[in-house]
Amino acid sequence: MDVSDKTRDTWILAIAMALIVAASGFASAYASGQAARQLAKAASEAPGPSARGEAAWTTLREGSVLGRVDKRGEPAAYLVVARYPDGEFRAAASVDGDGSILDLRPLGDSGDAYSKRLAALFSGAGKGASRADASTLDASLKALVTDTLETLAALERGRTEAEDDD
Amino acid sequence: MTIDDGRVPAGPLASIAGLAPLLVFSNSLSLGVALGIAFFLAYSAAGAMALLLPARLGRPAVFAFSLTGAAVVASLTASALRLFDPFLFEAAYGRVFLSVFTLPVLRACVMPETVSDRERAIESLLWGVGYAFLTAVTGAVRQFLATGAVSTRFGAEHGSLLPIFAQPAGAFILIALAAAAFKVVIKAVRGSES
Amino acid sequence: MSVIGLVFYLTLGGNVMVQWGLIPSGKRGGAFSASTLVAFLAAAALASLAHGLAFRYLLSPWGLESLAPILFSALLFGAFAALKAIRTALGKPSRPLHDEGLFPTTLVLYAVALSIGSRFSSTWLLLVGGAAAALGYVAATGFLEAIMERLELERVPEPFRGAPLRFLSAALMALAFAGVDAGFFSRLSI
Repeated sequence: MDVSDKTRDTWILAIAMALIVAASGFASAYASGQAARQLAKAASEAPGPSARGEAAWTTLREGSVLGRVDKRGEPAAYLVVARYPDGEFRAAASVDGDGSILDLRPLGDSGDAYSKRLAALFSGAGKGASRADASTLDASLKALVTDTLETLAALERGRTEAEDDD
Repeated sequence: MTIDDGRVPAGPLASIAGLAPLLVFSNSLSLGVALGIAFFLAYSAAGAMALLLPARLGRPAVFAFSLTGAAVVASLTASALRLFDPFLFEAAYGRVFLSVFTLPVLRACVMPETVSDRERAIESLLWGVGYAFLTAVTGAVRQFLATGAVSTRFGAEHGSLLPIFAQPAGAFILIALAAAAFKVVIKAVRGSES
Repeated sequence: MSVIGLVFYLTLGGNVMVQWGLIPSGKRGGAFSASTLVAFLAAAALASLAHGLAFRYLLSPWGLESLAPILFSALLFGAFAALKAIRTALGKPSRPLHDEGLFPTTLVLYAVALSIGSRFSSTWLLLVGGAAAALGYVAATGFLEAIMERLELERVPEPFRGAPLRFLSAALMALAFAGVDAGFFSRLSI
């Protein structure tokens, strides 16, 4: 075996691999851009007040908060994707400056009991509704809702503070 | 993570056990298909590179290039998945990435040394189709058992039949039953041959 | 969640062995020397830290998340080369990267890195979470091996002996662990 042949082959393969990795990087960035458009559209087209105008998407992936949609002159909307063993709950939540929920719009068909309860708990938390309609599922979902609300508040406070600094 | 108790052939069944990280997550048809495709592409890329790269590079270099090739293919699969359905990508990207480091893929990255090893490697590439199909079928079966229906759309899994099958425990139970059934079949086939 | 709550959660409800399907073969499962255990926990903590920080601050801002497995491969090759150089300098033999005995460890390290890296953003939580998840994995494999040893003495139907029984035991462990929910520990302030 010629050692120089082995070295040459290794270098050729390494360069080819680097080029393929660069192409994968471009593919990933393109997919990310397209996904951002789709997610912003999904959040903006949910039934509710925020239905028009150009929306800018920011991926966050903090707990159950997938990202944020910013629209000029409107409160920020966060896309919440809460996963449980046999499904996931998706909703667009408009928040005010301190991070409390102004409006929560479920995305898609929230057909199962967990999704319905999560929608009720998030909406109830935003409006300060009474807990007269409590369900047995609430105990297992309460921690998820509380964590998500705390995350939303922290993210929104961080965003408004960053805006004020600018 | 091998199934080899001296009673059944280690090959296919061991690989199915090696797929457990994907099977455990595959609890709906859409997830199963996504993971099956990701696994098949990574497995085929790893196996093909290990077979086709020149032997003079040496086993460590062939392994490194094959593993990187499988990782690149998984990366491209994840990007395609993200274009297709961003929500599905967010739910499944971890497992799509992990498919590169599952035992069947890592084993496929090792350069076969002898002629019989090479022949077995070509045969095992064909098994990749079967493993991918199994991952998708597992997703569909678990979704049906958990919800009473099978949906092709991710995030539209509603209803409640046996919710345990949507959880990891349900996947383990299904794998155990499938492995036991496989052993019975192998024993019956061997009994009829002798 | 407090650090102690986090450690308990990753040992029980969020255990990587059951959540990620990382069932050991039983040939070496549960047999860890103290130095191996420390090295494994350190490797898991570093893998979680490296993957978590790179994913959040290097790949995500540029939309390059899909490059994560390539990055982890590069980290793996780098760590392995460094380890090999150190062992060679100390005059100790090292196992080749393509040694099948290392594959399960690689798989567990990446599963831990993915699990923890996607959950936390702070350096401290990534390190502690990685080590805790690895500790949870070692503990769970130890439990599973103990269950399997006890079951060897029982009269189990022939088709279920070996692998099927291992998976059924893992299923029962998963059910028991699933009862210990993250919510329990998220409110725990120690």
